[in-house]
Amino acid sequence: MGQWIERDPGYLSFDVYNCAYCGKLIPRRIWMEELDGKRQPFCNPTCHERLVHRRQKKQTTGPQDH
Amino acid sequence: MTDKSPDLSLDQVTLTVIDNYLTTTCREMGLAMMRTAYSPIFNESLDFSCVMFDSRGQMIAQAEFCPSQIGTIKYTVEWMLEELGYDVYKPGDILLMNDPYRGSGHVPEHTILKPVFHEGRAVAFVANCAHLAEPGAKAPGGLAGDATDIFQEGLRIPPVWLMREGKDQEDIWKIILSNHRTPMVSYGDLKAMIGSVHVAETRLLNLIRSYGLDTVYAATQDLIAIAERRMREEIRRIPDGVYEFEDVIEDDGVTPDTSYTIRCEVLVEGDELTADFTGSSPQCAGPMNATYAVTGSAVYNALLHLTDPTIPRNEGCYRPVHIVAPPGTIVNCQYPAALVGGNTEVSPRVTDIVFGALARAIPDRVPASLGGTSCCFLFGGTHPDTGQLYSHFHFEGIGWGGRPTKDGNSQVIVINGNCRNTPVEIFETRYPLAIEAYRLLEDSGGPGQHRGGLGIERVFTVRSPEITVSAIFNRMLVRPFGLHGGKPGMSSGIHVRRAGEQAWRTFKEAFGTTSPSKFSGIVLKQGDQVRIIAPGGGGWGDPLQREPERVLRDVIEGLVTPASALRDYGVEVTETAPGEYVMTSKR
Repeated sequence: MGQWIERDPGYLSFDVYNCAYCGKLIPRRIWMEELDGKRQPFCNPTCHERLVHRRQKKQTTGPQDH
Repeated sequence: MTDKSPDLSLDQVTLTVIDNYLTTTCREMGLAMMRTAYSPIFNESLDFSCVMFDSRGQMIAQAEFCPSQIGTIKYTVEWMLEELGYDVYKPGDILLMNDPYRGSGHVPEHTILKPVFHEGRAVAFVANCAHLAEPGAKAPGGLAGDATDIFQEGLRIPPVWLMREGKDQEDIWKIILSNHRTPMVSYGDLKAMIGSVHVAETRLLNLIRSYGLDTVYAATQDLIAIAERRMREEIRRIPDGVYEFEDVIEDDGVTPDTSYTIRCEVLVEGDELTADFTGSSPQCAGPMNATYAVTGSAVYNALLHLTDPTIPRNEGCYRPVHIVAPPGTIVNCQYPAALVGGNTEVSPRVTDIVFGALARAIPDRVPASLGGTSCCFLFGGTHPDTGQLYSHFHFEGIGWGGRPTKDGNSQVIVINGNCRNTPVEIFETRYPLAIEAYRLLEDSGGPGQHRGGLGIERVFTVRSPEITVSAIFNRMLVRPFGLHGGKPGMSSGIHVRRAGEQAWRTFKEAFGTTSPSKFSGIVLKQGDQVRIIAPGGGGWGDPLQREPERVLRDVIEGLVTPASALRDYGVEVTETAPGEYVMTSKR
């Protein structure tokens, strides 16, 4: 089960979090959810669901028909 | 007519009136900027965009200015509100941001955001994004074709208060303007942007006074729902499937003879569409990288060209469209990569690639490739008449691709820009360059049943003791593609002829730049000339299917030569007297 966390967008360093599905930089609120045995950042639960959906579809229909 | 749908709060007439009012307000924001800004890139080229958001940062209206900015501002404003907060503002506050690693397209594009207050609370945000001709980069004009990190591309500004409660934050102004070569011009342009959001605030409050806040809010949410529903209907009409296409960025300005692939898989599944760029090249060492916002914006741009133009342009349009851009690639570069060319060159390439992918799915709606480069020519120096520093970003019109029903347009600014060209008279008045030639290039449009639009040739002569120039071009080597048997458009070029010389040479040949198309900081002297060749668009359909009478007309109008008419279209045209032609044989 995932959870929201908040990063502090400070200015002494420039840490970035890219969504593990779409690749977008996440400004502040990050949806952390376990995937492939580790917790990964997502924009929101929908991005996590889309990644899981596309993986499942690829497994069932092959790489050209997903 | 006034019945309302069961899923909407308001009737159609009220919705249409409010939608048009909001869109017209965004247009008026642009007019305010055009009329009050100091630089030609604002008041002639219109390189800006104007957008309105609700209190949660959802886009509720936009005007048809610069598509790349309209797409990126969605990400920019989201980031600004997320980073600073949604409820920390006071009436009269003005915020500024240009950081590409926070959603901006590239450093020259600055976003101004203003909260709109009604009865003590922020009920909306109004914003514009505009290209400042001078962001304080290593090269005058900001687009250094050989930059290797973001710090060479200008002053990077995180979200800051430029005004608090109506009062200028002098410290912020000092920092920004001290880093620009042309502080007065930047000041005037930023003030024009601020004036523009004041106009929007006034108009929006008038609307709220007329209809009441609840009605206006309900209308915006209805319009978002309508836009989403209609965009989903449009996507549902595209056959489900996976459509792939790829093209290249020719070089990155710092790595010799290396091209970069942009690969896209467009997945259509019911009423949703995903553009997945997995498999694209890793980010490059030079400035030819795009941020996620630029790539996303270019995908939206493609889809808005292929779908019903009457769909309200707001947050709802974007909801059924998803972008996957792996971090560390040329379509989603990572800090601190240079990226200023991504918004001018990668953006139109991404749009063309989405076109190319969907050409298989909806061949009757997709055009061939446009010229696909902004032909960025930057220059600056000390003006001999005023002694003041100046800098300018000049971009050139190109040929657009042939369409399923008609020829491509000629000499129109690239698809991500939607800007105007700068009149010769304005150009020569403001800058120490004379324009010796400016003409459509015959045969530059790709042959096709529907011919590609024509590119142009422009020649400048330097009229000051010296001037520093830079450039970012593409489509010099890989020509704009045709579709369905149409042939490619002509490639681009930028050449120099030193005073007293006869031959044109590339900047690589003349100055030893790494790339012939991307460079910065080249000093030219009085009498030197620069020639820009803007590419033509690709052709659509087999050129042998073009009606011979249309080929003859093209020859008469000087768009196609008799040689091309015969070679590409199989139509023999003979010149019977100077400027008079007859068709002597059809295929």
